[in-house]
Amino acid sequence: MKEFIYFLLKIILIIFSPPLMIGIINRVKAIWAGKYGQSILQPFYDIIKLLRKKTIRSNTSSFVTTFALPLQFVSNLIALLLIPFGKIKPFISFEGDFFFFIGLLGLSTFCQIIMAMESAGSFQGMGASREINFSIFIEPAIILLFSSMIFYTKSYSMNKMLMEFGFLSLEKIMVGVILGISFFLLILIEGKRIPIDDPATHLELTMIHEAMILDLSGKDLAIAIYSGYLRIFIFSLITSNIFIPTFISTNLSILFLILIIMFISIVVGAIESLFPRVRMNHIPDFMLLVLSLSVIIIALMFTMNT
Amino acid sequence: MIIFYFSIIILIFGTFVSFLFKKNIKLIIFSGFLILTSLIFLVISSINFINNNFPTLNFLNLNRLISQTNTGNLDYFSIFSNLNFEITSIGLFFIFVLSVVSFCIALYMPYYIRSHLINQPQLNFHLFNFSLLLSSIVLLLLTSNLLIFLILWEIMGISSFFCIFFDGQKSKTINAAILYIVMMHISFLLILIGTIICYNHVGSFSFEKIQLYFQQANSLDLNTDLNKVKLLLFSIFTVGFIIKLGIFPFHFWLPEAHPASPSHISSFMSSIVIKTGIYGLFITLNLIGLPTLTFAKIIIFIGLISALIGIINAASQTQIKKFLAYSSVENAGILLFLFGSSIYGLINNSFFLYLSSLLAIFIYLLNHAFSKSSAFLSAGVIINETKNDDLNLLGGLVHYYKDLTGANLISSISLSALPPFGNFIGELLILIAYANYITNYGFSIIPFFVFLFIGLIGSITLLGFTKYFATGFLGKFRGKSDIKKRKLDVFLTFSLYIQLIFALIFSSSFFYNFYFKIIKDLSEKFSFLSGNFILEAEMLAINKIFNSFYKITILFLALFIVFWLLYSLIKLKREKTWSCGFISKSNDNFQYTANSFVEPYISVFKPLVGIKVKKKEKEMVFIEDSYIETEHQDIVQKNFINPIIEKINYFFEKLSFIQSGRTQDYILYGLIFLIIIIIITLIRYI
Repeated sequence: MKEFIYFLLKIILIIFSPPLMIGIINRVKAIWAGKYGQSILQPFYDIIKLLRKKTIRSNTSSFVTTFALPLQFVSNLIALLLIPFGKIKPFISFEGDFFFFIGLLGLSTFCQIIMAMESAGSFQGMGASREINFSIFIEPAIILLFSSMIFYTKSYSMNKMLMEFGFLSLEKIMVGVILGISFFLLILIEGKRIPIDDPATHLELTMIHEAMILDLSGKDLAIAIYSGYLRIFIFSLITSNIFIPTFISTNLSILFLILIIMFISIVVGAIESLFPRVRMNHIPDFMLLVLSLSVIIIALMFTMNT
Repeated sequence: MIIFYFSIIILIFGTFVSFLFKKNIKLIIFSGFLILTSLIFLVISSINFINNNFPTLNFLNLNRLISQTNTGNLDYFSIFSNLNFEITSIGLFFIFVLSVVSFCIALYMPYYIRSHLINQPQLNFHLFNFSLLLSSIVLLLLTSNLLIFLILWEIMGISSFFCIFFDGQKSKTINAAILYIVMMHISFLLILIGTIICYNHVGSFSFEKIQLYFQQANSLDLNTDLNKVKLLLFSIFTVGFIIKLGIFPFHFWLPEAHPASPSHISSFMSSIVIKTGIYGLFITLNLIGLPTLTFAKIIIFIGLISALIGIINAASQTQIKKFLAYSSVENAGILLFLFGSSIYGLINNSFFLYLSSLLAIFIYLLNHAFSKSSAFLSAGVIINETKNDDLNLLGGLVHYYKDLTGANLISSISLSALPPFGNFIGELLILIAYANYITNYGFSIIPFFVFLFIGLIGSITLLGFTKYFATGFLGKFRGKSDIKKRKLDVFLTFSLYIQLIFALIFSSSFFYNFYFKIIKDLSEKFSFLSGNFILEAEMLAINKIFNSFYKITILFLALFIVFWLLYSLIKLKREKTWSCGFISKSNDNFQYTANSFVEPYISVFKPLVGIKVKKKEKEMVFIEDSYIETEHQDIVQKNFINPIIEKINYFFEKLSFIQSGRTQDYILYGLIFLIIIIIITLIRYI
C-alpha cells in the first residue's frame, strides 16, 4: 500500500512539478518587479491552450519533425524516471545508468536541433548552432561530477549515488557544496534561464533556445515547451537530492525535496530579477565554470586519496 | 576451413567469369558471386558461433588431418599443411562483420558503377582487385603463420591501393592513393622488422611456437633480455598496426584516401580494412603477451587523443566523405583506447575492466562497421545524384530521397553514440568499468582522463553529426542544379537499412553470450592467462546490468513508438516558414550553412583544425566581386609531413644533375661503376 502511494506521488510530482516550478519562478520575478503577476498555474493554462490550438508547420519540414518531437519528449521523460525522489526509489534503475541518463539528454538535444533545422530559417539555424556549440563542455562536466559521487558512495547507479551522498564528513561537505553549486549552474544552463538565455526575450538575435522553437506552433510547441520544463525539473531534482540528508525518514525526505525544489525555483526567480543577461560571447564561460568546478572536485579527491 | 577456400575460389572464379560479359551483366554476375560468397561466410560464422566450436572443426579442418596423416608420401600436401590456416573465434567475428558489409556492398555496387564512365579493362581490374582484397582479408583473419600474415597484409595493401584508383584520372585521387600506399608500406616495413626479430629469436613463423617461446618470459623481472625483446616487439608491431588503424600522428592518409575512393570502397575500407589493425593488435597480444603498465597507459592516451583530434577535425569538415573519414579516425581512436584499457585492466587485476573493455571493443567495432558502411554508401548516393559533396551546397534532401534520409537519420544517431545503438553501449560499458575501477582502486589519472575525454568526444560527436544530418538533409536544397524527387532502388535501400538493423540487433544483450565466448576463447589462448582465473562473476554482473538496460530501452522504444503513432495522427496545416515575418524571395537562401553552423566551435579549436580562410575583399566604393573560400589541410600533414617531403624533394633536386639526358654521361656512369667493382674485388684478393 505504501509503495502504491509513493508510486502515485512520484507520478503526480513528475506531471505537475515542472510547470509549477516555472510558475513559481515567474511569480517571484513579478513580485520582485513590483507587479501583481500571473497565477502560479499559468504554465498549465499555456500548455493546455497550445494543445487545443491548430498545428501549423513549415512546408520545408518533413517526417523528421514528427519523429523528433516525441523522441525528445520521451527521452527527457525516461531520463527523469532514473532519478530518485528523496528516499523513494526511482521507477527504473540499473548500475551505470548515469551514462544512460547523459545519453538520453544527448538524444533529446539531437532531436531538438534537427527539429529546429527543419524549418530552413536563419534564426532557427542560429539558435541550433548556439545551443550545440555552447554545450560542448557540459557533457564532460556532468560525467566528472557524477564520477565524484561514484567515488564517495561506491556505487554507480543514480539511485544509490544520489540517495547515499550525505554530508557526514568534512570532505563530503566540501565536495557536496561544490556539487550543489555546479548542479545549480546546470539548472540555469540546461533550463535556458538568465543569465545564460532569456526565455522572455522578444529579440531574435539574442535568442538561443527560443529561436529554435520559433517556427513551432500548437501541439508541437506545447510538447517542445513541456520538454524544456522537464529538463529544468530533472536538474533541480538532482540538485535537491544532493542536499537531502541521509538519516531522515522517507516521508520527511519527500517534504524536504518539495521544499528544496521550491527554494530552488525562488532562487532562480531571484537571480532572473537581479542579474542581467550576459553577453553572447561570455556564455561559454559559464560552461567552462561548471567544467572547472568539476575538475576542482576531482583535484580535491586526489588530495584526499593521498 | 575447406569451405572458406572453396568460397574464395568461387569468388575469384566469378570475377573471371564476369570478365567475359559486358558492363551491366558483368556487374550483376560479379555481385551475384559476391553475395553468394558473403552468404557462405555469414552462414559459417553464425553456425560456428551458435555451436561454440570454432577452433576444432575437425571435419572441415583439412590442415589438421593432413598434418596428422602426413608421412612424407603426400609431398605436395605438406606445403598446404605448413601454411597453418586455422579458424579462430576472433577471426570468425571479423569474418562475420566482413560478410554482412560485403553483402551490402554487392547489392550496392552495380548502382554506383553504372553511373560512372569507366572502360571495360579498368572495370575488370577494379573487380579483380576488390575480390583479391576481400579474399586476402579473409585469409589474413584465418592464418596462424606470421610470414603468411605478412604476405597477405601486403596483398591487402596493394589491392586496396588499386581499388582506390577507380577514378584514376583525377590528380587528387592519384595523390591520395600514393599517400596511402606509402603509409601502408611504412606499416608493412615495421611489421616486417618485427617479424624478422621474432624469427631470429624463435626460429619459426608459426603462431603456436612464438606463443610458447614468449611464455617463458612471464616473470615479472623486467630487466631480462627476453622481456626487453618483448617490449621492443610490442612497440614495433603496435606502431605498424596503428598506422593501418589511422591513429592520430599517422591518421592523415585516411581523410585523403576515403574521399578519393569510390563509395563502396570507402565503405569497405572504413568498416573492414582499417579494422584489421585492431585484429593485428589482438594477434600481437596473443603472440607476445602482456606489455608493461606504462605501455598500456600510453596506448590509452594515444587512443583518447586520437579520438578527440579526429572528431574535432570531423566536426569542422564540410565535405561529406571527409567528415565521415575523420569520424572513422575518432572511432579507431576509441577502439585503440578500449584495447589499451583491456590491457590496463588485466595488468591491474581488474578483470571487470578487462572483460567489459573487450566486450565494448566487439560491440563498438560491429556497430561502427555497419553504421559507417551505411553512411558511406548513402554518401555515395548523394554524390552520385547531386554531383556534389559539399554540405554547404546540399540540404533539403529529405524532400527528394526519403529512404536515404531515414537511413541517415538512424546512422547519425548510431554514430554519434546515442542510445540504444552499439557505439553508445560500448561507451556505457567502458564508463561502467572505470566507475567500478574507481570504487575499487580509488581515483587515478587514467579514469579522470577517460571521463573527461569521453565526455568531450561525445559532445563534439553530437555537434558533428547534427551538423551533417541537419545541413545535409533538412531544410531546403542550397545548390543550383535541379535534382528530382525519386525513389531509390529496392536493393539499394535494402543495403542501406539492413546494416543498421544488424547493428541494432547484434549489439543487444541477447548476443552477449556469443561475445563472451570469443573473449573466453581469447583469454584461454593468451599465453599470459595460462593461470586459471574465472570471469564468470564479471560476466554475470555485465549480463545483469544489460538485462535491465534492455528492459528500460524496450520501455523507452515502446513509449516512443506509441507517442510517435499518436503524434503522426495530428492534422497539420502547411505554411511558409515564418522567419519573423520575413517575406522576401531571397528567403530561400536564408538558411544556416554547414560552415556557419560550426563557426563558434572552430573559433575555440582553431589550432587543432587546419582550416584556412581565403578572403578577397576590396574597398567597397563600388560593388566588386568578392569571395570567401575555406580550405582544409590536416595539421599533421601540414606541419610535419609536408616539410619532410619538401626536404626530400630538395635533396633529390640537388641530385638531378646526374640525369643530364646525354648518352655519354650514362656510359660514363657505367664505366665508373665497373671500375669501382673491379677495385673492390682487387682489394678483396689483396
